[in-house]
Amino acid sequence: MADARQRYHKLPGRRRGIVSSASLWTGADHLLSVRSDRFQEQYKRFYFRDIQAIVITKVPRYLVSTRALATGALLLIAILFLRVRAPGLTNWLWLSLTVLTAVWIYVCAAHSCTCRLYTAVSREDLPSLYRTWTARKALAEMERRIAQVQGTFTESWAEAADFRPLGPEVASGRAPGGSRVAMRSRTLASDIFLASLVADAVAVMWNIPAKPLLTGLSAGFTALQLVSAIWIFVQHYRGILRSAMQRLAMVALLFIGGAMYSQEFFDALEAARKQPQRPVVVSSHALPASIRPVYSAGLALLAIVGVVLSFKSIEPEPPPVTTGQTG
Amino acid sequence: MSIPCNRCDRPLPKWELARQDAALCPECGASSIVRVFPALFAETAPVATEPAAEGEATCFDHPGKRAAGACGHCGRFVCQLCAVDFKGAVWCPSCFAARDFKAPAAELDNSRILYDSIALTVAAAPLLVWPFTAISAPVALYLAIRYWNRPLSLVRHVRWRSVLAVLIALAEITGWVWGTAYFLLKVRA
Repeated sequence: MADARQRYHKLPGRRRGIVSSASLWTGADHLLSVRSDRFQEQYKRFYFRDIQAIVITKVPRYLVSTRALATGALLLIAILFLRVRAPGLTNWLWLSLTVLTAVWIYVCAAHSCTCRLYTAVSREDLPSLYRTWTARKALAEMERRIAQVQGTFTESWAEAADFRPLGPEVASGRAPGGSRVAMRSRTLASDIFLASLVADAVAVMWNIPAKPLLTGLSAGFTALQLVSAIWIFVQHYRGILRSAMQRLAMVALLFIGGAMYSQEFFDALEAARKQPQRPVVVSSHALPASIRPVYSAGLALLAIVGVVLSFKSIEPEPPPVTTGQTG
Repeated sequence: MSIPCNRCDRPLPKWELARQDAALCPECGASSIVRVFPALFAETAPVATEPAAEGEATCFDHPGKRAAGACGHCGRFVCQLCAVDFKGAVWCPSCFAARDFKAPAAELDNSRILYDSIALTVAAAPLLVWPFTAISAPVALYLAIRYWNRPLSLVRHVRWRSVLAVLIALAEITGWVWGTAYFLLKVRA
């Protein structure tokens, strides 16, 4: 089929998620932001003549790319395969994994950023630019292309910036891309979530000599946490609940998932240590006694943070992205 | 100040914006690189439409407004407000919304379904649970051939996914045919 093909050149940076990805391309007269969920691509065009500003802010971003995930998975698989045949090599692989994890944490914490582009009618995050070095390279290229179309400033723009609106004008309601207008600190979903955290912490703590009833109860509370966390995400997406509780729900889910996987992992290591020549069979149902106090304390801490966030006085909302005023 | 910090959405102060290397947000302490372009200061005026005088052609949608041109597709008169300038021709909003172009305009696409990726996934993913390939292979082959001519992604123009999907699907079908024939011959023998 005849397709009016426009040649695009890729800008540095690409976000590769397990399901979704994002990239940035330059065309003849515009920037093309591509978001893909593997089976469909969404496009947004920003004409060079319309771009008003680009802001890159250094923030920690703990994004796990498919490459990092694949590297970690390969190392873990190699460790599992070599633990019998070459035990000496596994120590080096563990060391490599530790070093790579430390490097990843350092890069995520110290060299990550978020990039946002403004036109008169839109404010768009550019998800493909999340590392500072790629963001700088992409910014240099974008600046060059925009300067070809718009020219450059002859004097400092900062003096005049007070008097010009940036981005889309928002009279009232939800700011584009923002989510803080008229949101609540607590809802029924967040209350259920916090209550289940507290109950789970108590159940786990009392379950030191593991009892089936309390173990089942704890699993029920975990299921309740999952359901209420999803409810919190939905409420935040709909602009009902503030982002703080959503972030807490995310941290709690990561904590719960991390505890479960680490439990499985340590159980597997223990089983492998006991029977090195046989396949690993993991058959644990309750948290080990050594992990339970830590897990319980973590849940209690998350619940306390949640209660503080729920009853914290709501600060005045930050000013909207643009006021539409000229003074 | 009109330029907000990406992290906390609070406006960045003017003295920080004047620094070209990095502007520090006084609220959250985040460091930002801010690049502002002349478009921010460009004067934009609303589109002016003129009232039509007696005997003058008027806009199809705004009878009181003077026509500024005619739609290149349906011939309707359009005023300055309604005229859509696209690819060097004037279009009326209806024709433009209907996207009744002679060829599909890649410049207007805001999403595309990647049939080649779907076909490849349908062909390759069931290999993890191989009995499913009995169904998935013909489906993948159908998808790859049926949507062969559909436009690919805007940014990549190579059809290797479709080719690979066809090859994998054919290999799977061949495997099934060979396996079935072998089984039947063995049973008969």
